[in-house]
Amino acid sequence: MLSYVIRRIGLMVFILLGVSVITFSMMHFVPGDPAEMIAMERYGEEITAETIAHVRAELGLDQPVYLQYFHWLTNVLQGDLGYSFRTDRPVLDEILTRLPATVQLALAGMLVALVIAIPVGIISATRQYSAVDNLSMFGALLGVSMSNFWLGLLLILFFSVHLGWLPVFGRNGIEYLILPAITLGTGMAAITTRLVRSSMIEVLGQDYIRAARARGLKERVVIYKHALKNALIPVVTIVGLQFAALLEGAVIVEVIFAWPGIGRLLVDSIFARDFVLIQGCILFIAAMFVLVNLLVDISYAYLDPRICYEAK
Amino acid sequence: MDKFPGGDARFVWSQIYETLVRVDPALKMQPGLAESWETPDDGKTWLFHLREGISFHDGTPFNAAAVVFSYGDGAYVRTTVLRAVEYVEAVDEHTVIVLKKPMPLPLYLTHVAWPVMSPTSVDDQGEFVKPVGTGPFEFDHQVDEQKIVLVRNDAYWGEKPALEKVTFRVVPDATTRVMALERQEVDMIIKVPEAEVSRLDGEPDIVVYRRLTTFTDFLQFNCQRTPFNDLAVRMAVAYAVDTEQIVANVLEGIGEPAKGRPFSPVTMYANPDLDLYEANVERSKELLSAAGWQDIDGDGLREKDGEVLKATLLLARGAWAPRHASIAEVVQGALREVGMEVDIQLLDGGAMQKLETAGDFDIILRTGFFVWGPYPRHFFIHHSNSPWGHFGDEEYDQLVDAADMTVDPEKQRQLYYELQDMVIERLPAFYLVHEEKIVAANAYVQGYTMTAEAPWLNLDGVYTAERK
Repeated sequence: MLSYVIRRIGLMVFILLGVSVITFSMMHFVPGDPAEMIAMERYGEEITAETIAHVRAELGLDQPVYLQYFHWLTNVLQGDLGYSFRTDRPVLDEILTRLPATVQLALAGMLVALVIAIPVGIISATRQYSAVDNLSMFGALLGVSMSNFWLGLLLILFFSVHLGWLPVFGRNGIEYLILPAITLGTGMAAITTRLVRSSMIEVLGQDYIRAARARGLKERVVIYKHALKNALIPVVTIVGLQFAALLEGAVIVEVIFAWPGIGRLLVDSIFARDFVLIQGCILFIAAMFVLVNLLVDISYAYLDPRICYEAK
Repeated sequence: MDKFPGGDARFVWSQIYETLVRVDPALKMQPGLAESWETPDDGKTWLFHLREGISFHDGTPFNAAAVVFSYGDGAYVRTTVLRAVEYVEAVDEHTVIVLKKPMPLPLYLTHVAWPVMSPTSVDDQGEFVKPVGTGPFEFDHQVDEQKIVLVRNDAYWGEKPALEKVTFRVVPDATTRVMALERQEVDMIIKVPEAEVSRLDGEPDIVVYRRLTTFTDFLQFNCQRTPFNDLAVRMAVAYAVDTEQIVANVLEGIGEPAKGRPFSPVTMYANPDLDLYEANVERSKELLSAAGWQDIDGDGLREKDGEVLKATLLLARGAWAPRHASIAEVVQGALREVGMEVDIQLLDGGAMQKLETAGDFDIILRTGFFVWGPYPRHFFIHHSNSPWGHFGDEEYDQLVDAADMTVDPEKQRQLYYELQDMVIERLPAFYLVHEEKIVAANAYVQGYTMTAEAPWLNLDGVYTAERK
């Protein structure tokens, strides 16, 4: 197992390298002169051609693209992600100060999703086509269809403005996390509920479940000990993949709730053509994604003893 | 401080820093850190007589050295608007500023983005440490882009503010801002969208403030290619687009129809007697027909020399996009009416800039541009030296230069009046709506006077009464 993990982490270096080449070249193919954008961002619209040229030279954007990439890469390999064009602060600092907020939001969103999806999915599966099942499947459809943007504002309107229970925006205590987490988790909860349900239905039809029942085991034990663990394997895969969607959703949720995370940082830096910061954010997000996928693969071995990563 | 999105840091700067010359809420020039100023040679040399006995927040004395630090060689501002400055020199408590060409410098120095900063705001290497100014509030701390906390400067030389502490929060989404105000999580919000005003007006505990600003929306023409290289076609647009209708139908009655007038009435030298464009569809059609654009095949669109009358209208994504998109649709409808097809393209700022640089567009919808303060610097946008100029009219360029090099107020007025007439007659752009800015506050926030300047928040005299 250990050698597998090490190999995967080694592979991650190549993945990140590939991601960095792709983002770097994409940024330079996208129309728009970063020097002008940065000049406007810094000094307002009262800029002239000379100001733009000055900014371009200062940021090293007057060099050929491959040289720019080479410089960037050399620095990154020495642990220096560079300085943001816009704020002149180290990119690593900018990211690390926001990373906890996004991780917290994503984990809370995931928790909301699982807390809803697993029990509701099980109940629906065990009472297929009942009123409860129909209701929860309708809820799941609704959850998938609602946009985070709309749901977030609606939740604020109801829970904050009308009921006055929760704060409207910002990040402080746990009460500030509730609405953003629900907003972010709803879509994933919906998809996961459907998956838990169908996966449970499939597993419950298996012979070993029939065997367990035949042995006179209590239904609770059959469902929670024998069926659930097996039904969770596809769920874990999807949860891992959904993590990417969660990060994507975090961008919108962070804007609505003024949540100081990496998603908002990325959006701001894209608008400002802050190449160094975009590059840094993408690198971190890609690394997070790869790590989560690794965790998913490792968890398979736990969930299903037939999956083994050791060389025979 | 630069962390605050876009130019919004200016709202905070204007509390911490001050300028040598300042403007009051109605944009009249007032002495600031300079008590008075004079020019012995018609604007080539300026002498500022500095106020005495003022200190920066950290105790550093405010003096000529600080002015030299802020505007001297190496100061950023010298690479932009103050490019014409040759050198800045201290003569005891006065500061002399010498320009290569004459210009009305005090008007330029009212800009809060170029204030007087303490030499102690940078370290030995010249790296920025923290904002140190002379203003009514001093910088306390900042939490990334979430908030900035300012505290009262008890040693302030002018009238001390009533508020002990001011916290600026960043809430990017306008609807969230409005809800945070309703729940009294914040006391006051700026940049309220027009669409929220009627709802907030109905709330008894919230006061909505509105005031006409220096910002104006305009359709800028590409005068260097067909069809808008023909003045008659530009005039046809001016007659076809009903700016009264835009204000009434799209902007909920907020703002003032410009009818082609390039300056908001709050701007210095705004000519009150301009010959404006009253919407007149028939006149528009006549102009197009006379210019050779006829609907030959009867499809509702005009043609000339086998080409259909078409125009691309560019808008940039960003803060203005929602407003611009709805205005653009009205323009599109109005021009369809007279036989011109308009293709609206909502582009990312960079993509728009690429098309603009290549001259590959017909109309751009914009707002603002060089409208800081009372001074009509906006005219520079259509100048051939401006990165955004698409007019290419030598007489216009000369007139803009002449106006900006004049110091005598009466001559200035005359030249700017002439320029306004010229813009109306030659139409480098058709001006649509003078914008009102909207601020909303809970009723317990009292004593607020709104300024006519959009990116400037006036906290003079503001206090908070007992909350209900």
